[in-house]
Amino acid sequence: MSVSNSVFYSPVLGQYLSKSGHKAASPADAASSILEIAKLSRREFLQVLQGFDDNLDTLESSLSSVQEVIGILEEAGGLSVRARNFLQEDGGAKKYKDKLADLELWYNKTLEKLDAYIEKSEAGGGVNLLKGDSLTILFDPAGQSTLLTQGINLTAKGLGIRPPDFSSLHNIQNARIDITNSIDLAVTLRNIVSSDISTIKTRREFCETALSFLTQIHDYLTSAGPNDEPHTYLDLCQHIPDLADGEPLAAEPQLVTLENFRTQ
Amino acid sequence: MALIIDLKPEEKILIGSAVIINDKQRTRLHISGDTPILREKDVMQEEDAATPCRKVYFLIQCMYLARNPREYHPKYFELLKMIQTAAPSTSVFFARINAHIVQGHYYKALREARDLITHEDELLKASGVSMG
Repeated sequence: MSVSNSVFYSPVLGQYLSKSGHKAASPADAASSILEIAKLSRREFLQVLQGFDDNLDTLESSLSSVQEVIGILEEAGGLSVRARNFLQEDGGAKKYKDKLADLELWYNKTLEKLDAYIEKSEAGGGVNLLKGDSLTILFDPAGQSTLLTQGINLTAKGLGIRPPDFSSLHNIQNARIDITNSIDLAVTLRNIVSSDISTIKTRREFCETALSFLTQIHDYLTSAGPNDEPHTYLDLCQHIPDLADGEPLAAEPQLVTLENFRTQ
Repeated sequence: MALIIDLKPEEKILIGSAVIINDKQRTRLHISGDTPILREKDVMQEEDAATPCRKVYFLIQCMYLARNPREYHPKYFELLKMIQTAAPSTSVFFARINAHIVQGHYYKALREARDLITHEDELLKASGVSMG
């Protein structure tokens, strides 16, 4: 069988990619079929990339806002600690009455600052993860694969922070608990957003490289046309370079998992 | 919804990084969550990844099992470049494999890579050599 100047037929794809042994398609047909698929994939990848960029901006801006919120909450926490220290002293309630009133006022102002900050933390597309909105990232144009980032309402009311009352040690302890729980929630949101940013960045990077290869194959087929695939491929098999410089392709954790599978 | 897997007697399955071996009777597993799951017939050991497209399968399998799949991307793309240049028809498979990887559907990417291996076998058969 002559394979010279042929491309390839794939029963897996159920279409002719070669004329060798088949009369239905010419190499040009095959090349144009590959080009068509490459073009379609390229368009889809570009669409997905656009979505990545828009949503990354939203997530990155939310991440920096959450960090700011954590700072404000820590400030409130510091005020409650100072108030607690005053009240823990013998006769502290009387001795530091004015200072406690000031601390309560500052604590209240800090909570107002928190709410005002969250109000203006709306990111792109009107999404405010710090008010409990959610953001859906599409990994394909049809939206069959998505990543949902669920925000948390970090306003004083949303966090369930009780109104300031520094009149007793018990109430101040309650304020401390409220703030500690609130910081935990804010840190949780920071971790969620941070992890989602990392996922999107990894996939965006992969998508960009995949896109560049689709462009390469497009240019290659447009300029050179299909080559003598079976022979060039055989040549690759016989001269494939070592991708890992003599080391295993798999990293240590995957090597261990696969080794476990073999020996069990 | 839980994934349902029927295991044959003594069949092995990889769930996350744990290897589970069925006893001497058939078993049905209901699995929830998004941990990697590979049946015995789908697991490829590195020494079996002897051809370029088998290496592609192996690398996707490693991405599937890895906490950080990113570390495999450079080797994967290096291989993709060589294969695609030698056999442009493989780009059809890579377009689909890559779309699955971007979506995080590694199992589907592996299924597509299996088709790529079949395509590779056909290419080698047409060249008059069998490397399978």
